Amino acid sequence: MRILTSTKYQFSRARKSLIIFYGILIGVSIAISILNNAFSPGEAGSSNSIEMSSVIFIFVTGLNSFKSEFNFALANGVSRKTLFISSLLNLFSIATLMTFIDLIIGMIFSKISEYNSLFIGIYSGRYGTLKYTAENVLEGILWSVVIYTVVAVIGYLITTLYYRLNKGLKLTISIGVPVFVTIGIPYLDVVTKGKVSYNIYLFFAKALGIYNGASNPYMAVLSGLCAIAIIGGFTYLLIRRATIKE
Amino acid sequence: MSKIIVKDLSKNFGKVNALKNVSFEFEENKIYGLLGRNGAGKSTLLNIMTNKLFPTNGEVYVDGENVCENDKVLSKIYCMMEKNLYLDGIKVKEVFKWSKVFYPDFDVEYSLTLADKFGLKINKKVKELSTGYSSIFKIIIALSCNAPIILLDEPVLGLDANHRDLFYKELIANYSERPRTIVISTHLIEEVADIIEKVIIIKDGELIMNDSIENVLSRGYAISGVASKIDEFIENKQVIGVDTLGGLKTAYVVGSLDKSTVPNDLEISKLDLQKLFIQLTNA
Repeated sequence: MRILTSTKYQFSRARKSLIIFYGILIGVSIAISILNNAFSPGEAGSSNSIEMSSVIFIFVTGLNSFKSEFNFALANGVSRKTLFISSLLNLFSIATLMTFIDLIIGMIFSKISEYNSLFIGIYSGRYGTLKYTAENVLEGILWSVVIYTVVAVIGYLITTLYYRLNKGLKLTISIGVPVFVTIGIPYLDVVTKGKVSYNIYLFFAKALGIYNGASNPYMAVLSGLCAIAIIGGFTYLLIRRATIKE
Repeated sequence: MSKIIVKDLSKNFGKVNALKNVSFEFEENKIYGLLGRNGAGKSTLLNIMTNKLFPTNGEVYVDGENVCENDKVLSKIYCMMEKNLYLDGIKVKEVFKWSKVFYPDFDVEYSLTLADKFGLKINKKVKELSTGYSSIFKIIIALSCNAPIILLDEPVLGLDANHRDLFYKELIANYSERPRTIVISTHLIEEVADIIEKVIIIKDGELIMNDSIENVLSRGYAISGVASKIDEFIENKQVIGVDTLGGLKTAYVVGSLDKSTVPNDLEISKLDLQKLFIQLTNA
């Protein structure tokens, strides 16, 4: 019962941001379509920016889903375990809602412009130029829900990790990770003649089911579920002993 | 039923022992005063009792169940903390609404009545409240939530005399209508002395007293008069403290009193809880 109550509270917090986000997204998309038709009549535009914007939004939502909720939960007699489960349910609910909203927006925009969803773009080998058949809509929904949830739980893990770390470790990670990505990996690439980048590409291509000409979204769903379980496990380890900070 | 058992509780923060193997019980439906000097371990104890902190050793049980990560037990306790745990952007009335969701017995109508009595504007954001009104806001939630156990950590912080008086009156009225276990952690000992039924004193993380107010105050007496006569009277008695003002002296004596031995010009009064506390907790 407390799980549902806590989920309801967290979802209510995200509702306002969702309304603002989609208001801006739809407004900007309509403006771009109008400008496109005005300045380049007859030319088709192409975009999958809706899903990319959604990915960024849900990542930020994940990042904003710990500290305030943790304090509020403890103030209202909710255990850390219940908070963790309800946070995952909340992020999953937001991912599902955003998937359906994105699908509807995509369907509408595909009527007025040359719109391709991110999903169809990635798995074009499976669906070709076909748009919105029952099969790819259902597979797209499943894929989107899982990928959005993965992105959200990554944000949730990062914010929880930062909450638990002391100042020194926070600083080390905040500097260390960008330095490793921007300098370390390119340096390792030079030393290994591109093997590092190639293996990173290989890992993601295989995880997404697009390696070597394959086009299998179910592989991405399976990988995503594994990622959610692993990231969720780490996050729970961080939350289970978290205490209120002064 | 809302009996709390604190068993062998210890809490270390690095090398600091905030609580040292503390054991005692909070009887149900009684009002407790949890007293101690700054840093004695009162807030640490309340935070462990409400699962906000984990003990280094020991457990806290409510109705036989460990409070640690236990939703069922935690829903029976409301703890008003000094720290604000609510979202900065949230409005007072929204917190009342959500408190009703988390504590189904929360009396929204009563909370609005109290807000009116205290002059708390419910459309204000929590972050915009002054220290005093922030305390009032949390007091209202504590009194309205109707949880069987209410823990109040420094409830009158920043409150003016009028609001403090109103709070004590409302607390008594609320308790009379719906008895429950209430623990008040405060430094204003004189103000709560007439409200609390039992007193728990913690000193440097150790329990040094857990008794009823009656028993505590009957442990001794205060005797006042001319300094020389007081000095003569308290000879060979266990004196826990002395106040001197000019040629007058008040001595606080522990032990029974044989009134026939008291000279006529000396005045006997009840042992003062605050004085006793100061004497007990002075290093």
